[in-house]
Amino acid sequence: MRETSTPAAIKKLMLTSPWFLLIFLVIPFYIVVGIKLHLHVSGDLLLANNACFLLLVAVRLIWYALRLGRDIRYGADYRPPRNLDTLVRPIETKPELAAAGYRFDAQGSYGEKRDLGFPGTTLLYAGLLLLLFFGTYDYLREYSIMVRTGVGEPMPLDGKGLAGQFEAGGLAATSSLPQLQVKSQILPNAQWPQGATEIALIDKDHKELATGTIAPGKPFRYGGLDFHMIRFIFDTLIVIREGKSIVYESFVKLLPLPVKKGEFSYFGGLANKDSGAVKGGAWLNPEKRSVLVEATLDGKKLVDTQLELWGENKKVQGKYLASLEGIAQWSEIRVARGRHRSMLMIGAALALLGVVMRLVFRPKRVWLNERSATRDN
Amino acid sequence: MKQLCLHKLHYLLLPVLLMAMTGCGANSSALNGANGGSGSVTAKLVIGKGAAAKAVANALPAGIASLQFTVTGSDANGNAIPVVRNTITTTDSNGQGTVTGIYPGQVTVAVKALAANNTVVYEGFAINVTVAAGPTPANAGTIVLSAPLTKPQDANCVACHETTLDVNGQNLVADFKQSGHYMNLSWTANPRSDNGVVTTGAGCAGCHGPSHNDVNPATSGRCYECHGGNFYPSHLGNAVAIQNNNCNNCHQPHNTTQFVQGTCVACHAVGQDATASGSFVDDNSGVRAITAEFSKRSHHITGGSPKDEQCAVCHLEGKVVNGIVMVDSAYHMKGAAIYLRNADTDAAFVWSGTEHTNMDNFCFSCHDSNGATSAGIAAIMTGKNFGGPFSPTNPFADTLTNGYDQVARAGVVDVKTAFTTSNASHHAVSGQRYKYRFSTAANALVWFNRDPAHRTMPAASEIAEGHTDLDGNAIDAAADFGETMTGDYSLGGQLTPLTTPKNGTTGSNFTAKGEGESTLYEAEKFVGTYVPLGASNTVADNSTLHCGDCHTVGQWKAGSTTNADGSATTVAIGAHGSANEYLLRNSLGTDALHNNLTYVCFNCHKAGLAAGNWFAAPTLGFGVLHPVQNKNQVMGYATAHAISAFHIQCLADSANNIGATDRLSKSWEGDKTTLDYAPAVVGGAALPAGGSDANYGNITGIACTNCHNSGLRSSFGGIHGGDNTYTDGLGRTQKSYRFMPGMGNYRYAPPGGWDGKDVSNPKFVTVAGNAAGIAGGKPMGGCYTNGAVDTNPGYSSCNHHGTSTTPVYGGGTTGVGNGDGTNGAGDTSKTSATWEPTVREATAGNALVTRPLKY
Repeated sequence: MRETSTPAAIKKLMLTSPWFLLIFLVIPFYIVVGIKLHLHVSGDLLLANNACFLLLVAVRLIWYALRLGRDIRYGADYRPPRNLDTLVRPIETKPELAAAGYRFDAQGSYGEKRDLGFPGTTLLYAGLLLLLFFGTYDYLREYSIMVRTGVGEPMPLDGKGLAGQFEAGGLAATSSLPQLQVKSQILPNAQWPQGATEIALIDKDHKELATGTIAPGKPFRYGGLDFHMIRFIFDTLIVIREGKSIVYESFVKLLPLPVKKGEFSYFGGLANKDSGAVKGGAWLNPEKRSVLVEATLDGKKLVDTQLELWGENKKVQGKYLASLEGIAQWSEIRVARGRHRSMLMIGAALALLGVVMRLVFRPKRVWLNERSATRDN
Repeated sequence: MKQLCLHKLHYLLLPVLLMAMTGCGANSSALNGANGGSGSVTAKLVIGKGAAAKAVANALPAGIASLQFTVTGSDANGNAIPVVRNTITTTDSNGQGTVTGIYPGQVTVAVKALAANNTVVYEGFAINVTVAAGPTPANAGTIVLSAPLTKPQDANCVACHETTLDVNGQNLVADFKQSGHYMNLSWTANPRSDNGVVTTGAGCAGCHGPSHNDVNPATSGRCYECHGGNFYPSHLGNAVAIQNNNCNNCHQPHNTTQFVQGTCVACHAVGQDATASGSFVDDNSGVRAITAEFSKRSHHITGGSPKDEQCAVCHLEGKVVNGIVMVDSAYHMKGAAIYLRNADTDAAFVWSGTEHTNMDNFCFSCHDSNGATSAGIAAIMTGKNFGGPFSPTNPFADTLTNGYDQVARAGVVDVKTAFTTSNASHHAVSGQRYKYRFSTAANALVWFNRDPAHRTMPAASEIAEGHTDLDGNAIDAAADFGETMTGDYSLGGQLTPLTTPKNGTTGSNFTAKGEGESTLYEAEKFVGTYVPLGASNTVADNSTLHCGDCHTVGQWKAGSTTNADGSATTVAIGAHGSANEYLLRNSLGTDALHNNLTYVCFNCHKAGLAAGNWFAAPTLGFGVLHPVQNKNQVMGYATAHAISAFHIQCLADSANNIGATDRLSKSWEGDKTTLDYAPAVVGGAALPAGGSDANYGNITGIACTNCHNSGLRSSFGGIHGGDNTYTDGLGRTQKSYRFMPGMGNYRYAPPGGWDGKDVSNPKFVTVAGNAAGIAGGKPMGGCYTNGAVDTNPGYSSCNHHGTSTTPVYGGGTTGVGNGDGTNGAGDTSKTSATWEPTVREATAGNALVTRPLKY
């Protein structure tokens, strides 16, 4: 075998070596292990890894693509045989090989027959390129936010002033996102068993860009953004007084009950760090805007009564006055930028097809070494 | 033309006719009310002088052979009801006749008195008569019959359209024949020609042409061909109304003395300029364009566009007749004033712009414990639901919420009770909170000597000393103002050189001051330039206020009040809607959303941090009211408000955030650590680049309410006043004086109680030597939150200081000395590095300027 020079080795490493690609699995492996071990791992590290991987794949794709039309694709230097089996054939062998489809280099000492494995490798890199490009692009453009908002003014989605989950990639361009406005909230009915929310998307000039109705499992898509309604959540302002002393005053957050309690479909506990010994619960009937309040103080009943926001919202029980002073209804909405799923799927398919072709169709290559028969004998 | 001179008519009673109707053309059995689906109408017919007609039994008046009744109209859905036409030729023994077969709905009754030869001798109309099912007849009132006016070029039109309904669902001819467009025969100018046929002046053909040539003359510009040079002055400047052919936005086209349905909101969608010059201005020189104001950030009437009924809830200019809101000419355009409805009695509150007490009482009549209880409002609104059911505490029948905090209230906020003058806290709207601007003669002298060139030594009558307080109790100057103000009531001089960066974590750059007691006015804690509504003096302890001092009703007109800096307001806002939240003014006088530099609070209370280098301007900014030492701690007692350990986080506001979750949890300004604040009084300063600390807002978005909401953690309106009790950070029961505590988790523990003199419990008194420079025997207290890991049950989120019943000195001595400046420039004091209860007030050793609860 001929000696391999350093540049050639680097070229081989960069352009053709399948083992070099394994280096790009190190960081993903570290990330996975880090997450499993609850270590702080940076997504940027993975991004950098994938960007480098993408670059390398792009170079290799170009390298392979340029050779697709050539007679000599692999070249004599590409994986030359480690062990030579010498076959003594007459000089006529070369024409026979040519007739069989082999093409030889200028020296005539190396030939190869076109195989589907080489396009398979090209397809593999094309698929990887698609996967990495759109994966990286989607990561940089990643945008996901969870908002709780009610009917009212539009809410900016740029993350400023927003609590809760918010994730945005470096190219998310959050400042150009529309504002989200809840126009109305539809409590569960025959058409919308889990309720629905009518939303509008508002631009910076307060113009309405689009409107739609979202419900659990029925998202609305606009401008590459998916708007998912998760559920309704309520806050009820409950106050219990004993004369001038405020025994309890808090917004109680109410979440959907898995099973209704009579007419009530939402529940929240009264106890919190500020409530002292006041404990109990509140059940809400959102249609009637009525709340059943059961409160105890040091284990003894404070109040156990039903209040209606726009009806009998104050009741005296013993020395306590219970009142329902406010209800807020929030639509919990997740907004996320969709990924290029189709491109990712195409990339994966191409890569898989390429791998299969590479494995099924092996290279057919010959190295010819002319020797005289006399000497050999 | 005698027969046309209605003013000369004298009325003779003609038969009182009972027109009974039965639903769906049923028979007259409905007269006795047996059929629940039918109704009836009564009307009295009168004719003019000279008719010589009188009510008689069993006959019609002489000269009248028959009376023809034509009933047209629309039902509750706006659909036309069948036309009923009937003729009677005689009356019964009571002089009454009967017409049957009328459908329920909103009807027009057209009456023609016919002679024997069937010529019309008199005619008259009743419009908008509401006929309801049931035995009780609707009263159509008096129908005046007068001799008919015939306009030849319109005769054919009238004949064909006799039962046509107008845009308001009433009889078109009945409308039209009462209009000057029909009655004015003398107008012959502006003829129009259609296909060679010339018609003159107004009238059916005069506007539409003889053959339906112009279906909508209002939009095609016919109105202006006659009226173009003769608009009322109130229309001259109204570009929208005039230029866009929008006459029929307001005017019923066939009877221009009437307004189209939707009168209030339609007509007041555009401004009306009442000045002779006709220059349209958007303020109360005329009437502002009101309707659009209800779509501002905060506004009365929520959850939808305003309805006429909702206008009439507040305004007596509107009344309900037969279920429809009509202009009440007794009030509408009656002089320059408007007439507001007492929501409990329906009496009028006259408001011409200066009757601020009237305006207060008008607001209170609804914003009290029982809401709007008047019979008039009930008549207008009962059964209405514009987002919520009508009730006295939901008089607009709306959603009782707003677009920014998005919490639906149970009812109107009861501010009248909050303003009760016996409450522990109240702003001085229902009465003074304090009686004097000056405490003692000695303190008044100190105040005078600070600026003798511009001040006048207060008269003895202005000084509390020697007088009685608001309860009539004698003021004991020695006890109530035991420690005479020394003039050291503000931050002391600046240390040089500055050794601590302004965003540093330790040290003070100001020297401490001595103790003293004074009024807020003496201590110059009030904005020196703001003049409350109706007052001649600048705001002080003894001022009385009005709703309009804080809310935008005070800015009903440009120049109606002053800004914090004393300049006249330049923007008209009013009580309908505001770009700010909660219909609040801001301290700049603009119609814009406030922020922690421009809260309405800063109209009266000095606040804000000095722009740029606040260290170099100790007399400016938030530090004047709540002196800030650095980003973490305040200097201590050097304030009239004995707030200590005041954190910048406490200033975090979240106005402009949408929804309660975001308003309480994150400030819109990001991170406020550089402290570049400008006092509101020097308005115009740009917002700091940094912003306020995140995660310490409250649902109102107003930083002040973190501490001041009269003991209410989550409920709205405590800043008006309150009389609650709370358990302070040292476990004591306190009354909610000074509007404390607020919507934050802070449980303010007043050192030595609210009079600052209680040192009876050694547990709450400093021990000499527990820290350098701290004297013993000082009462301790300060701000507490409900726990270092407080989960924020209320609509605020501060959890900085944990609860402890054991007073702890706010340690962390990272500097040199005790911060009182006596140790030179390196005296950088101490700071709190841990989340301890903030009991630094008494221990800081700085000046105390406090005041009694009554004077």
